[in-house]
Order: sequence, then structure tokens, then C-alpha cells
Amino acid sequence: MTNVAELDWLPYVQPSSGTRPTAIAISFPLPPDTVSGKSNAAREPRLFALHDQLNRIAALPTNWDGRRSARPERATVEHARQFLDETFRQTVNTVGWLNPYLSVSEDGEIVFEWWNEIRKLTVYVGQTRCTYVKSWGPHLLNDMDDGELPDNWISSLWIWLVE
Amino acid sequence: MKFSDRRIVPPTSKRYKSAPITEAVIEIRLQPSPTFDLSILQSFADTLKGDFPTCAPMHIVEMGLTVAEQPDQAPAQSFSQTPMGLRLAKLDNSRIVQLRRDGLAYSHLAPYSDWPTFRAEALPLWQRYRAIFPDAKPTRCALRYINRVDIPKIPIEVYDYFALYPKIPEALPEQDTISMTLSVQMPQRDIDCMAVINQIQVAPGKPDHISFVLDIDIFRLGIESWGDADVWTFLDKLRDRKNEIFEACITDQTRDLIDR
Repeated sequence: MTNVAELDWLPYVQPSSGTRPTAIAISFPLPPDTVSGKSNAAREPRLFALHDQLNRIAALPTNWDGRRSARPERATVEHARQFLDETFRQTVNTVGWLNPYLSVSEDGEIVFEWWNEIRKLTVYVGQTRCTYVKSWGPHLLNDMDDGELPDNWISSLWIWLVE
Repeated sequence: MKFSDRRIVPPTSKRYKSAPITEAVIEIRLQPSPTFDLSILQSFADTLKGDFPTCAPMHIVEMGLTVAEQPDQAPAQSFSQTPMGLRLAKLDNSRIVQLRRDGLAYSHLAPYSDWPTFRAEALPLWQRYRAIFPDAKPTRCALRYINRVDIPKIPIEVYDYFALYPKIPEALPEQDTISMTLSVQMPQRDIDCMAVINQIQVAPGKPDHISFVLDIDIFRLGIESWGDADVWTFLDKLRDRKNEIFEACITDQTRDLIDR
């Protein structure tokens, strides 16, 4: 749309006062941190659907899959919630966020899986520790790496996943 | 329902049978200590282990990009994670406390009890946190209430449920929306603070529902000269204003939904 066409539309986008209310815009001297400085909620509202999924996972019974798999402990679920929020907070405004697929391992760990084309990152969240598997091809030994999730995993594994 | 038929403002505070609050936060920030040591907060967290058994570190992530001096060189990227505090949670997932290098945030998750309970729980935690940084000046105090309203009807007219909504120009050929994000910052000049209201359509919390988040973040900056008592008295004022904002942003149809 050209500027001329936009001007043609202007009469139609004027506030229709009398039918619906409009906001009064003012200029206000804002301290520098005002806009970005949200108060720190523990749960990111944009992650409600994933937290709901964790609620469903938390409600699983023992032997939930008929193969005698363990149910996730409450501490594991809470650890997973913290892991989810912290990962979102650290990535969303820097390198970018990807929604994970959530499931449960047979040992009762909560499994986060992310894909980016052939790159796959899987994080197993237990009660106190997290481990990871990263893979970048079909070969079981040559195209994968695993280990305990390092504290600086965002700067190593996440960057690798999303780059 | 025609817009003109909608009842607009009953600014009373009342307790709803199914309050839609998913999280309420009390946050007080301090000037960060230049010699911050995470082990101090870890020692404090250890004393809270009975009530808050799960503990996880929080980090600040910083990304940098240095433009190359030569045109054929790629820009250099840097990425760092700095510890900024600890996040503690109760096992039943009902309360979370964030012990940060620049303050404390205490969260009451659903189901919400009431303000006196919430305040009474947060105050002693704050007093103990404050004892770790006795000389740091307060910089910001805030309340944030995040509400999720699940509406059991599709489609809806947003203004039947909320008094705050984006206006779709009537001249647009299509009026339907499938997502919505609205953010307004409103100075509250009478009590010298700022309210940030975010309204977002989110993934539905239940099948065949439409869900909206109404996120009210109300805070005051520039409180370096205040004592702790001033801060907590002001939090009571913020709570009253938050209630007024919430009541003003919803309609009777939403009141019916959350009072069942």
C-alpha cells in the first residue's frame, strides 16, 4: 500500500467516538527501565500451555504406560517447571525460543525435546540433575553426544541447536 | 450485545469464587551489590529448605556482536551467562520465591488465597533477605497479578468480556481475530506509579474455550529514600489500585464466569 492509499484510508480509521471508547495518548517522561522492566513473575504467561502439559504429566499414575514405568516425582515436575521458565527467559530475547515437545521417560524423568532441521536436543530433567543428548544425523555413535547438562548450556547447546 | 448496552464500571473489590489469578507477585528491588556473591543467597536458601525444597540457579544472558574492522571479516559473537540469583519453590507448587542479586520476588500461584495471607507470607522473607543487604537502597516496588480467563464459548465478542480490548476498524473486510496482544502503560499520577496492563489471547486452557491473560503490573520507581515500612505501606496502595484496574477491565459476563 502506498502512502497515498494509506491517506485515502485515514477517514475510516479515525476513532468512532460515541460508539466505542478510545485511549487518550499523552507524552510522559519515562525512566529508562520502565518499558522493559517487567516485574519478575515466576511463571511466564506465554508458557501456560506447556505448564498445563506439565500438570497433566504430574497427574500420571505409576505404570502409566503399562510397562511399569515410574511416575514423575513432584520434585521432578517442579524442577522441570523451573528449567522451562529459565530456558524461556534466557533465550526469548537473545537467540530465540523454540517450544519443546514434553514427555516422560521410563525412569520418571521429564523429557524436553527440541528439533531444528536435523539437529535434535533432548534434555532429561530429573529431581536434582539434568542430562542431555544431542544428535545431528542418523549414525548412533558418530552423530551424537551426551552428558550432564552444563550450567552454561545455553551458550553451548542451545546456540548449537538454533544457529 | 451492543456496546452501548454494556455496563461499564463497578469498581468495587470483591472476592470471586473462582478467582482467575494464576500468579500474584510481590517484588521489591534493591540497588545491586557490586560485590555480589551467590553463596550468600545460597546460605539463605538453605535455611528455607524446609518450606522451599527445590532450588535452581537463575542467570542473566548477554549477547554481544562486535562489528569487524575489515569488510571481509565476519562479526564476532559473544555470549555470556552471569549468575543472578536463586529460585526456590514449594513442593506443592503453590509458592515460588526468587532471591535475586537486585531484590526479592515472591509469587503466589493458583489457587490464590487473599492479600492479607499473601502479604503476611512475603514480609518475613523480605525482612530476612533485607538483613543480607542492609545498606542497599530500594529502587522499585511492584505488584503483578496475572489472570487467565477461560471463556466457554467460540466465537466471542471480546468487548462482551473485557472493557479493555483492541479496536478493529469497522472498515476492515474481515473482523475475526485468532490472536491478540495488547499492552498499555498508564501513569497513575494520583499515587505516583505506573501500571502496565497486558492482555493476550493465549492457547486455550480447556477444550472449546477461548483463553485470555489479563496481566496487571503496577510499580513505582525512584524510592531510594524510602524505608521498608514505606515500601510495604505503598504495596497496600498498589493492591487497591490493582483491584480497581482489574474490575475496570472486565465486564459482568466475566464476573459471572469467575464467580461460579
